[in-house]
Amino acid sequence: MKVSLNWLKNYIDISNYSVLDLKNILTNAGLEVEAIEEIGKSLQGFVVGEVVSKEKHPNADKLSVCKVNDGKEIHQVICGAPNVDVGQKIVFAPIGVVIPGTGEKLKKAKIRGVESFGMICSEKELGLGEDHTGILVLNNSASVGMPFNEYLGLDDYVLEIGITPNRPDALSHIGIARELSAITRKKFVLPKIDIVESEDKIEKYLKVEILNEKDCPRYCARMVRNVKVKESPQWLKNYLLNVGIRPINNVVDVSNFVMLELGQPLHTFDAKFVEGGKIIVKNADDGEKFITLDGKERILDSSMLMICDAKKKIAIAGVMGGANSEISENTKDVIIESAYFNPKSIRRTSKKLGLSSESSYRFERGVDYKNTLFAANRAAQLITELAGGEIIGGYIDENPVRFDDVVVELRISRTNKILGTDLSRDEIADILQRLGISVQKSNGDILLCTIPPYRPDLTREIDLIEEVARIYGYDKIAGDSRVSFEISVDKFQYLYEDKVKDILTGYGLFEVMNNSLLSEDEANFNDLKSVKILNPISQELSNLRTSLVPGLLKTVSLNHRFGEFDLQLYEIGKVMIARKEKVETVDDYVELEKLGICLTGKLVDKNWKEKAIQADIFYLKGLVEALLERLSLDNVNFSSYYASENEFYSIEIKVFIDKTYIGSLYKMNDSYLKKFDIEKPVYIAELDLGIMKSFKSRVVSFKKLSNYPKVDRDISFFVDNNVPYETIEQTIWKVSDKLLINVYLFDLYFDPQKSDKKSLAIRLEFQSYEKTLTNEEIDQRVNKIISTLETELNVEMRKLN
Amino acid sequence: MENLDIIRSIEEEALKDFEKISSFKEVENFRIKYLGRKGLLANLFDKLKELPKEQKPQFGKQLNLLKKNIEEKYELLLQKFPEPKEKEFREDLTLPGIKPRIGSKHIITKTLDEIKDIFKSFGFVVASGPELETDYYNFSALNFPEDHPARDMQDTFFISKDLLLRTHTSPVQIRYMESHKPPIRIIAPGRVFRNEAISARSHCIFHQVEGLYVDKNVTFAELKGTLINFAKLFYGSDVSIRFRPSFFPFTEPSAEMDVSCIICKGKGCRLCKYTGWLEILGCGMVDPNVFNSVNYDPEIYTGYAFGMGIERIAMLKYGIDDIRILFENDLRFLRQFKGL
Repeated sequence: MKVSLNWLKNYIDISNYSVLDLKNILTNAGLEVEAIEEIGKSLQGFVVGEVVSKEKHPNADKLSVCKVNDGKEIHQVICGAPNVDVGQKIVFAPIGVVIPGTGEKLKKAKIRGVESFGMICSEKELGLGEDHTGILVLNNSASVGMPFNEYLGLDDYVLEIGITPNRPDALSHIGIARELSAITRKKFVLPKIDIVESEDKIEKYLKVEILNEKDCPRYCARMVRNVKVKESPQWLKNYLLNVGIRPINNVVDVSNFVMLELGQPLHTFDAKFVEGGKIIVKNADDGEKFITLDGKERILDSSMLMICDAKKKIAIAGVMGGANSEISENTKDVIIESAYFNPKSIRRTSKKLGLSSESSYRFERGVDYKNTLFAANRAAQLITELAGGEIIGGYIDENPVRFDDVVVELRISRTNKILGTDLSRDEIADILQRLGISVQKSNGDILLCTIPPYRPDLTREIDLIEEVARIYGYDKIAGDSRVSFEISVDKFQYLYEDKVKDILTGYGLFEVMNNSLLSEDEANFNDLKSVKILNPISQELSNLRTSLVPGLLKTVSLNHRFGEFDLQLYEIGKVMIARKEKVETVDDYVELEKLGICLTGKLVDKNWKEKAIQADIFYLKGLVEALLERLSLDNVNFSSYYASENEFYSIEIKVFIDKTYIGSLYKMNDSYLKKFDIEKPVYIAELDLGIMKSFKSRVVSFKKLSNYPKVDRDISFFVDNNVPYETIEQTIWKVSDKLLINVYLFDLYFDPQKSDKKSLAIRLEFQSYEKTLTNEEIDQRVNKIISTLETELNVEMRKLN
Repeated sequence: MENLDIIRSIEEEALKDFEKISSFKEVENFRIKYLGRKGLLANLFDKLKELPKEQKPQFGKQLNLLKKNIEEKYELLLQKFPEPKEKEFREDLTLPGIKPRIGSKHIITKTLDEIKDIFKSFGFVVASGPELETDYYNFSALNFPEDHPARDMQDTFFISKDLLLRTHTSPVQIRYMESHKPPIRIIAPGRVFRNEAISARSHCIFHQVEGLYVDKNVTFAELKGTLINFAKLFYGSDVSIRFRPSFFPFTEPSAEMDVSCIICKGKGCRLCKYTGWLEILGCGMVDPNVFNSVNYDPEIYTGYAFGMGIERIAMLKYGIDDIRILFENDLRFLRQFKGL
């Protein structure tokens, strides 16, 4: 909300405070001043002057030599304007000011041999308009020497204050004055209202009927007759303009002024269009149409509260008036509405219509229900002052639901217990009273507090404790740095995710974070059903990811654009998988935590010693194996097959722990990669971290070391292409005893001469806990392995050189 | 001098030289000096020819002995300081080392780790909760009444009438209190969502860390003490800190904590919008209505909660001016933070 200091000065004396003081005072009380705007800054230095003499320039026909009085001294000024004349009140620019129209600093000048000490300004030079045909001539009543921005009412500071939703009382200048008064102890005053009523009685012209008392507990009205609707005076226009409200006409401007002064939204109707002398407050009918002030058609429903006359709807209560009854230049008689509407009802209506106004903003936060009549009177008074006319005698105050005063008990002990302070009863009572809370002191621990009606946020003891802290000053409460806590076993954690991140980062991978929101097409990776957002920002971000794969591919794509082709990345994040087309409840989807690992390009760049290593599915597999080993997960199995005709990947290797599926390794399909503008192979593993966590890590315990050396034997053989390595290794283990401790494939070779065969070279490692193995013992075992491989898998041994 | 004395003195000199030698180059000089074609021994052999016949056998014998000795010494020296092999002369030690791959955690993870470490040292444990939440956990249980403007503070992505993407990590407070008895001291990091257009200043996803401490006799003064210590550990002990009143439905009293601007140290600059302060986190005492939602008796237990946006903290700390770059994963960006 914008607060003008000139406006504020009407209710509280703030002359002792600078703008920065006020900013700090309000910010430290929770009314955060987000910006300070200096109105009329560009016009600083200009003053109202009077032309006391005018003579022709001796050397130039079109120029005059003028003497200007600026209230302090007389200056000689050369002026080229045809309209300059003696006795005029003009805007004088002394030497040194910056001319807004040109941006240049004014200097002493010699014009055709005559000196000039300043300038008489045109509208254009002042940046106030386009007119530069002559100087700006001011009203004769302007007082000489007055700063020009003050003359314009533009010598103002405007504070932009962020008002939190719990503080409707602060949404007005009176509200801010009241708050400043509580903090500074300076008195604040309400505007004085002096109403002259005519003999007429309002009852003759208007009856108000409330059919929905719950949503409209109070409705006040006043009438003013024979007004003249016209432009508002400059002071009112300046007040409104400075706080960002566009002036419209004197009647509408008054209602806006009173709202910003007192916090009570008002509406003014042209009485001529209120048919049947009646205002009825009732709900709309479903599907009914209504055109609001802004000319837009709104479709109503039966939950919305409307202001109606005997025949038709004339306003959406508390939100916006109707075009059919608005104040125009022809308006003669005005009905002023000042009501209290149920905040929830106003909010629902405003939300449903997608229509928010200064008025609905205040009503939905809660206005002062005791203030309605005062505001109506204030508006009636100002309308007659500015638009003439007469106030019809009496007022309407329909008040079917009355609210009791809110009384809250505050314990001194509780206040100090929550805040960690040692405030006395008197200190606390004093703070509350400054806030307008009436405090009944009893002898015990309790203060009985009656809450003023403009503070609907204060209903509980804790609300008052906050008020005490706020006004006492948060910064005065000393911080207590003691920390005591129980030590317990479950409090020591090394988070699983952290461990995974540490391992993968150590392997040289970069962690990435991708958006959880994707387009529907992107989200449905691998034909998984995605969860849709009802109110997305855009179609590109309309569904929740079902997999980390699309995000990783977007990352690859972006980096390819910048010439980064060698990428080793990982991401840990949540994915959502829908179980139903339409997700309504928590049973309709699952939220899973996934780990994605992505390799593409070179794993190791070529260097001056070695060749490059390109990423492929086996490096990905090895990385996953290493990770699972580091996590002490046993019984890991990979089952693999070439996926046929899958649009997403051309290879999938499934990963199991025991028999539980934990995720897959993929070589992404070229055509799928094309969707991301990727032209190089990409390998991605996606594992379910949640399931991985559920497996107990192996308990690591020490195993005795053998005192005897390990002996290696290499064997090499041809075998049919269709015999998988896994079978070969299993066969070796099957025919071996415990002396075989490791089997390691170190070469694989496809001989172009033998197209149906491959050549494998395997290292067999033997070790005993009991003795040094003899050649015979090892030969015996190796021969057994070889003969089994020969008979069972039809291998053909090669000589190793 | 006697001829034999000359032999003895050369032998002594050679022994002295022998002791001093420490490189192949000096070995080479030794050879040239004694065994070279114009060396000292060659000189003596020339002298031998000129000697009278009767002196020749003795001098010759001594001279050959000396030669043998020096040659032995020379062999010893060559073993000790062999002629460097040609290859070693070619070895260029300024060639670049061959590095293992360097990876890095995301800057958000690193910032979060730093925050986590500090709060862990204060006795906090890490908790987490789902990203797709119910209206109850995200709003109602946290004292956001239905049809209340407080709900406008957080633009929400809805999945259905009751389901939404959490707008803050505060639902973890409720979930944790539902399943644990006080005392409770947790921090809960995680991803949150806001229905906001993506720009340099805001994103539809970001990360928060939530903190919650519940026990008997927890005070606002303790909240201040804990967070002041956090800020000093995170930003340095010279940082100024202020608390100012604010509003969150789930805390009361509520506060916002500012630290003095890390760029201008409070003097006022573009980063702090000339206020001298940077808003870092929101906090407050747990509202009694929140305790009521989880069946804690607010008369017995009090507590504090706080929450902070990790992106904002990281961006301020590292001078990142566009939040979008955090989720683009440009390698040139990621690499910059490998040293943290």
